[in-house]
Amino acid sequence: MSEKYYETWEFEAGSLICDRCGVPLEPGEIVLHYMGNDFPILMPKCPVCGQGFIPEELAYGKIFQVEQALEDK
Amino acid sequence: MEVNQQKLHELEQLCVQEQPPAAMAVCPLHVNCRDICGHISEGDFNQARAVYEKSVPFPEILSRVCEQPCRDACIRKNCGDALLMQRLERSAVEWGSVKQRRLFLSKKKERTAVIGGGITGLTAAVELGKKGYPVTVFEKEAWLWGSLRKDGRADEAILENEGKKLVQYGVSIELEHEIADPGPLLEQFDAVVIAWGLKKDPLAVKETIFQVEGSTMFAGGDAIRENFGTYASAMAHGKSLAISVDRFLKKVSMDAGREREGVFETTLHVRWDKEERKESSVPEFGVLSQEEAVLEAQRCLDCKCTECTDACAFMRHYKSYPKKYLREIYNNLSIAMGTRHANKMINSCALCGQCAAVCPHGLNLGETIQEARRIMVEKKKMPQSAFEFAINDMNYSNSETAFLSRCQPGKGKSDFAFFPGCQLAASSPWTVRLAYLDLMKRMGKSVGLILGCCGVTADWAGEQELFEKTKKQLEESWKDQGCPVLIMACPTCYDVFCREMPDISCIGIWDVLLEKGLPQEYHKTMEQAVIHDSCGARSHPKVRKAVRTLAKNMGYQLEEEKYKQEQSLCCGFGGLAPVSNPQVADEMTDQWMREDEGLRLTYCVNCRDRLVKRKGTAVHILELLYDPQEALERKAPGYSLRRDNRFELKRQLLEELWNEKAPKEDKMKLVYSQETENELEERKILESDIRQVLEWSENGHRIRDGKSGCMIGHRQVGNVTFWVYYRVREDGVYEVERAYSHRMAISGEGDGKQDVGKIL
Ligand code: SF4
Ligand code: SF4
Ligand code: SF4
Ligand SMILES: [Zn+2]
Repeated sequence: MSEKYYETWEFEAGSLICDRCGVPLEPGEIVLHYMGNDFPILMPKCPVCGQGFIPEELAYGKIFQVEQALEDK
Repeated sequence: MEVNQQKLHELEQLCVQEQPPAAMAVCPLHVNCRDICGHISEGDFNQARAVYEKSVPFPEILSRVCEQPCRDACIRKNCGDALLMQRLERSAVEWGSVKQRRLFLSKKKERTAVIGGGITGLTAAVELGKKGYPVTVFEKEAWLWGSLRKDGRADEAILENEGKKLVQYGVSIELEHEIADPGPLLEQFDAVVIAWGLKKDPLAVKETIFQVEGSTMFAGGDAIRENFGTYASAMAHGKSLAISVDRFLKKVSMDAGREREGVFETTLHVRWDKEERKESSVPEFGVLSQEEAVLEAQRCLDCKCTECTDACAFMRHYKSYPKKYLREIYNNLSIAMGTRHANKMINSCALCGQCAAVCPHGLNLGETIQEARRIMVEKKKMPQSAFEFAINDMNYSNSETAFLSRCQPGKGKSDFAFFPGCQLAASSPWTVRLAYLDLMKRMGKSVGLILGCCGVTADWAGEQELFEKTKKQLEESWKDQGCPVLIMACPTCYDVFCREMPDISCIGIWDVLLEKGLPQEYHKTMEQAVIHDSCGARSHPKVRKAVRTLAKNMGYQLEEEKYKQEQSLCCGFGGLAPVSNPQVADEMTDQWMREDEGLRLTYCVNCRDRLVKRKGTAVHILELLYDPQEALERKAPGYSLRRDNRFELKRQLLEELWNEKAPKEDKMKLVYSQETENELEERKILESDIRQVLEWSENGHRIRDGKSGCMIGHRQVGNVTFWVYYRVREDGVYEVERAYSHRMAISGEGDGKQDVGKIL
């Protein structure tokens, strides 16, 4: 995992396509925010329009854990 | 608002869970009978012996001679013979062994003397020795142990063996040294213990501390008695004397915290009335074999108060009991920095009040938890995710979309107004409609209608401000209709109005039906049912009675549940547990289902839906009256359907009764499998959330998943971001494959940046 990012996600190149721009998503930075904290993560992202993707296992895995931990602080 | 230490302390006192068993309390040495029996019944004689030795300085001796003053107190005697504790203790000493620890003694310089080498004196001496004091024992005879020697049950070898402890703790013994007058000793010793046994004139000492007033002398055992005491009490006095001398020499409080050193009566409450009788079956004499001891120990009732933990699945889930929970809650509220580990626990209680009803001392844990939630909200420490879903649902109920307040068509003022509650409207809107039509027809007065939520959701979530706002909204609607008497159909709404809006007079629809008779169309569909009382009716015996009478008038034979009336179990809906901790809510429902058998008759629709959701059978009394077919057959509706039902009810009634046509919404059509439906329900994802995502996604923001061929859309709705995998069918219907969500907001999506959708 890269130093800069809290989380990355391995995915098959070309498996996710931005329907708007017609191009495959590539690893790119998106930032998550919760309760005043920022978490840059490296996720599939459209190189043209910038829309990103977050997989279910991350949403109900790491993201959920961090949300809960922050809420209990 | 602050947590109040004093109040916490008072509440803690109410919980007797940590109180000793009856026999332990009256044992002069407070030997833990329950633990000893527990270990022996598992065959663990080493542990049993360790427990015994913790309280008894000379176990080899006492286990042979103890007169068992505990026997009269042992709870087992109510349903069999009292436990034979002395024989069990004897077997623990016989069959168990305890590793001798090497002791590092702190050496103290104050010199102490003990007059008398009997049990009391030698116990005091050995205990003082353990505390590091130099001790000298003066005994007038040429031998130690006084009357024990004549007794014979503890033979020479045993006495000698136990006597080694004196040597181990450096006690010096002066035999054949009678001290008739302790006067001279007071010069040489810093404290003198008098334990010379029974004399004509017993010494007077101050109770509990055993001090001869105004002196450096302490006396105990038979020296302060008129008749012989028990061996156990002699030993107990010896221990107390050592404590007193130590405190005296250390110049600390002589009596603080010693209220329970002597014999006392426990406040522990144990239910034995349902226990099977069990007499002792071991041979009358001799040392018990291990098997015999196990058999005897197994008769122990393991005395503990489990009233509330037996009743409440939430308490069992967190594996503790109120006294500890109170402490945890208090600590959780006091944390300034760091993780609040008890949040989840606090947010899982049903706030149902059952604990107070079953506790012998009336401790209401739910009340404290409710207060804790309020404080958390006020201090902005309530986890955002805990109750938001429920609050959104309540806001929906009381929004333009679903809230309705009208006088009866054609009337400018209401004498009565029907308040069915948001949950009945959500679950069984047709029952609400039929009941309202019936009320209008048969009341002979003008009956208005208020569709909305009573605000209990906000109350349960600790959202005081929102609760106040809701009450205002309701009060205004009530005033607008000319202050009618409200006819309630939900026991929880009824309770909330009674408690929180005392200006508004309320009756139950059950009262009306008792007075007016059953609806004309009613026909009986079943014979028998088990009546379940709702938490909402816990403090309303009249409601519970009225519902029972109504059910009998309907022709049903009623059976009662194990936990009935004010002790009723929560169905698992209370306190918003299904939203904040679905697992605990399910455990509550499952316990309710387990405790009794047969079809349950409920008068709160949440109870009905909870049980049906967990595959039990339940019917709601109003549905039985107005729509018996549906009553038995329909599933528990999911969150989305509950919203649609409220919306449709309002729309339909407005059109049918008030002639107001609401524009028909053109909603995107969604389809999904049963599996997906269950998953959406579990993940608390509403169809309205999905529609918002699809709208945005179809508007040029979709991602195509090469593997599944699905489209993927996402959008933040309120505080939650939803992701939906879907397919667009040729007929314009959306097939939802799956959906998930997270609360973290996303940025850095460039052009694909989303707007923030509305909550509703
Ligand atoms: S019922 Fe519960 S709260 Fe009450 S004394 Fe027993 S353990 Fe404590
Ligand atoms: S039943 Fe067991 S725990 Fe209860 S008082 Fe008797 S010995 Fe002690
Ligand atoms: S769920 Fe009910 S019985 Fe259990 S602790 Fe909470 S209020 Fe008491
Ligand atoms: Zn793009």
